[in-house]
Amino acid sequence: MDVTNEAGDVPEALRLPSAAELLATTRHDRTPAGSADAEPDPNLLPCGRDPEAVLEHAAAGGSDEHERSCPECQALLRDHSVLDQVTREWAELPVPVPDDLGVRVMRLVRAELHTGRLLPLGEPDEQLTLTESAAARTLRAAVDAEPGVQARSCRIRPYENRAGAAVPGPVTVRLSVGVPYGEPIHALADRLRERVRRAASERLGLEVAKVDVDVVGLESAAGDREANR
Amino acid sequence: MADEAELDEGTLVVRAQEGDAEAFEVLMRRHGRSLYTLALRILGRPTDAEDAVQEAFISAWRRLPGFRAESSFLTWMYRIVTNRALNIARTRRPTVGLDQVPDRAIEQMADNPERRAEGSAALKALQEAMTTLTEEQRACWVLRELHGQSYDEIAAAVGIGANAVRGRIFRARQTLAEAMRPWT
Repeated sequence: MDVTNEAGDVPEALRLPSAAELLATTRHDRTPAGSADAEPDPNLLPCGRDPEAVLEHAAAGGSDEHERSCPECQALLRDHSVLDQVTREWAELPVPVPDDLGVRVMRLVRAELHTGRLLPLGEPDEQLTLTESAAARTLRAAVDAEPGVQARSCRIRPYENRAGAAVPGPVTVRLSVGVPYGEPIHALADRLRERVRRAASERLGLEVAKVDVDVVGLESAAGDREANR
Repeated sequence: MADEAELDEGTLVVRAQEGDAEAFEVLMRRHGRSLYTLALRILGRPTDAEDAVQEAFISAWRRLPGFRAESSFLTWMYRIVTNRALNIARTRRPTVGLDQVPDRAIEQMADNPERRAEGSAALKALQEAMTTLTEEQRACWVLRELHGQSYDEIAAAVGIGANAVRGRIFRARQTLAEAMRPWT
């Protein structure tokens, strides 16, 4: 007897049977086939009971008379009880983690930075650029300095000339920030714009034309409220 | 709010998606222990577990821009680690023998006088019985019984239906419970 539906169609295979369906199809009443020379079902206990049903009944506190007195059923329940106990012991056992695992992972991660687009800096003929991810890191740090605020997304769009090419000039910043619920948003957004402009100018040498601020409620706050501007 | 280790999960994920390696490192340090533990429990060998976790994090870094946050970052990582661990288990299967499963945790426990000897012996028997399961049974059982994942989460991680997950776990439990007979 196979409790799975491995060859079954996908939607059916993804559906878990309800407790009621499980009980309706319990196989504990099924005894080995009547004829004397039939092979006993290897999935059943020697007493003829389905082990899954015996375990379910015991877990639900609904073992029947046979299950409470049958040595095979009782042995099954004891085995599983020990398994549960040893499993808990394993779950709580501390695992020594190699110290250098994180270091090795980060070396590989940094070797393939996806840095995003390049932002032109300085004078048009200087050919200086800064990666968006490095610039975003500086601006996020400036936003994080505001108490309780966490900078999330920070996208920086370079100035474009009439031909649509990125050239040195005032950039546009689109920022999303997590703030504690209940914070007055307009005053906060103004303060964050000021922080972004100052950090861009003083630390990156970038002039900022516009800062859009999306405010997202922090996960710790009530609800995931979102407000714009 | 200067300390990145204090940032909430959603903030770190968004930053990492935009290429912030430091945010990714915080996520890795926050969850590395759970993920390494998962890989070790599925694979049994520390060197294989390290490979699985390392490959999983590199893969996650590459795929992060496409992560839609429909599940938690940790659940998403459980999927990637399980996938890598199953691949490693399949390719290295012939070399894993019953008595070749070093487990530093077991040795550590044996040194701990507060643990009863029966306990560590029963656990060792359980871990040996694990090697008689198929890779999928092992992964399903570990995700369910040691990491508390739901059937649906396990189904997504292992790449089979939820009913098949249920069947794998039941058969794994039967095999493991039989191995516990000497300790009843």
